[in-house]
Amino acid sequence: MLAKLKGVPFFALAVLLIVVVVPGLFAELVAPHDPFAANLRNRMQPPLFLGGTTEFILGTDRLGRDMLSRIIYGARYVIVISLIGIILGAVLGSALGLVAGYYKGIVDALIMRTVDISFALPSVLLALAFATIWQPSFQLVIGVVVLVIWAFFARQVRAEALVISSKDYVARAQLVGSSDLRILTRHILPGVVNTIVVLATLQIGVVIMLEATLSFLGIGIPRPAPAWGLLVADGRQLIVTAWWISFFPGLAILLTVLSVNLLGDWLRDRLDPKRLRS
Amino acid sequence: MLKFLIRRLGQSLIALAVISVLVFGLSQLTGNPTDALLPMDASPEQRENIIRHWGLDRPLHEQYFTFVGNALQGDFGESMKWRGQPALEVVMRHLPATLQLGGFAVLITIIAAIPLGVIAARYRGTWIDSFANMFALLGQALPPFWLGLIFIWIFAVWLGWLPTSGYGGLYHMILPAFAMAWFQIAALTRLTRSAMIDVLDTEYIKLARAKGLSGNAIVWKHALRNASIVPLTFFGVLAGSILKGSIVIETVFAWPGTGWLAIEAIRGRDFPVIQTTVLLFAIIYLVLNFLIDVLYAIIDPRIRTG
Repeated sequence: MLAKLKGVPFFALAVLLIVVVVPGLFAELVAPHDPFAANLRNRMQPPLFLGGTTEFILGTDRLGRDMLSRIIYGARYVIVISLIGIILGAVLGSALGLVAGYYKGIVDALIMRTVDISFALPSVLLALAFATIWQPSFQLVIGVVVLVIWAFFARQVRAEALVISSKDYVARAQLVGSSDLRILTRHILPGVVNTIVVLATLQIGVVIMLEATLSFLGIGIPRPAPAWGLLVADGRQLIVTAWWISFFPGLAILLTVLSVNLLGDWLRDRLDPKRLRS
Repeated sequence: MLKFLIRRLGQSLIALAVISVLVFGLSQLTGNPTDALLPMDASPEQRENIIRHWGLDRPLHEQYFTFVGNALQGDFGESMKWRGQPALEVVMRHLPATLQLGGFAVLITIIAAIPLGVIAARYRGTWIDSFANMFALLGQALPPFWLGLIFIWIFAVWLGWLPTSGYGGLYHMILPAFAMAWFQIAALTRLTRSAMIDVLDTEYIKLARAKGLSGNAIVWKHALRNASIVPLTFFGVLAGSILKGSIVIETVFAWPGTGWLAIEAIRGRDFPVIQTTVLLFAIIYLVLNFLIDVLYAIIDPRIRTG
């Protein structure tokens, strides 16, 4: 039992639980204040360890809003964006990868060229172009995330589907007249599930970083939502007088991405020691 | 080799064509393009001119070819924020600053990452290796825009060693370049390390050891040369990341390059400038990747047939 638990990155799990999961799921219960309640009398209070009060442990922003509560509510966006974005991107990319690897030929060429082009488009630029047409919104961020990550899934799943579809049991299934859909879902998909799971975990960090970057630039989650990237942007002009406004939300991003990456590395070694090394 | 070159060039051109369709499509999606191309108080003649100039009364595919034709002649329309100036001129004016900063960041990346990766591989399993590994993990998790702000706070505000932001000489470049390079250093260190470990395990390195060559000569002369093929592919990725990073870092440090320009253009809804920037970045990215693939094929002949 203990041997099984060896190597599990407990530290990373604990950090994720404290920084993202619990705050994100139970924001109303954990947050000491309303994240939107402005009170100019309390503006730019320093954090507790710099002579602040226990009322505002991480200090307050330019409008007197409690930074800790804002960060806690911000965790929701991390969870929702990475969950929806990864699921949509993984499903789309994996489906296309399966189809490309199974049918080969022109279908494969078409899909893989699209993958190449997708890799050639810098993600922030893509978001930039979208933001000129449509107002920045939650849906737009999801759209950009999906457009950026689907190609990773398509490329990897296609490579493995290619190998699996040349196996005997696939040929036999074709011989007994199984439909393509059945072969893809029953015979090939199970063989690539591990890869998809590992890749999805490794992509969470990418997605969180992307969302934070877009929000920071003002082309991601729109204000007044307390997304972490926006919180960092809020403190940008105040870095000289009130550095904590930018510091703590950024620290939350750092800890979250670090923990997710550690978890992804561990999962990769666990489920797939040979492949996916990069 | 010629066949490889032609095929690879074809791929790049197709990618470019698709990107141009996307950029063109985006201009269609903005609603009435005349609204995007004209100031609010435009006269009917101006409107008429634009419609004729861009052929907006023609079918869509003809419009696309007009767009490509104009683009090939460097005509992307006039900037809306910088009135009366061609969009291409506005973008080109800001390009040198981006190349300057990006080049400096690439230089820092190579100088820091390759020795770090080689040393980590050589002393695999020791504290030096763990340190390099931790550094790489941390580097990949640090949001560059936040790192930039922290740099400003520490080195400009607190210590007062360097300027907080703005355009200027080497002094102004140090903080943004390091903020931009940090992530790349982390990635390249990891890549160099694993490539070196693979090479150090090969027979000819063991032979060199058996011949009595010193450890340093083996690692830095023999192994590194062969391991350098792997990081080479990374430079394509690196170029892309630097372009992407330029948007974020230039915004944080108010460095007047194309990335900063893109964000300013968004704020001013200056569509021609954004269109030009997107296309320019895509072209730079595609050209660099093409050159890297060619270089790769020269070094490793197996690629050419693959």
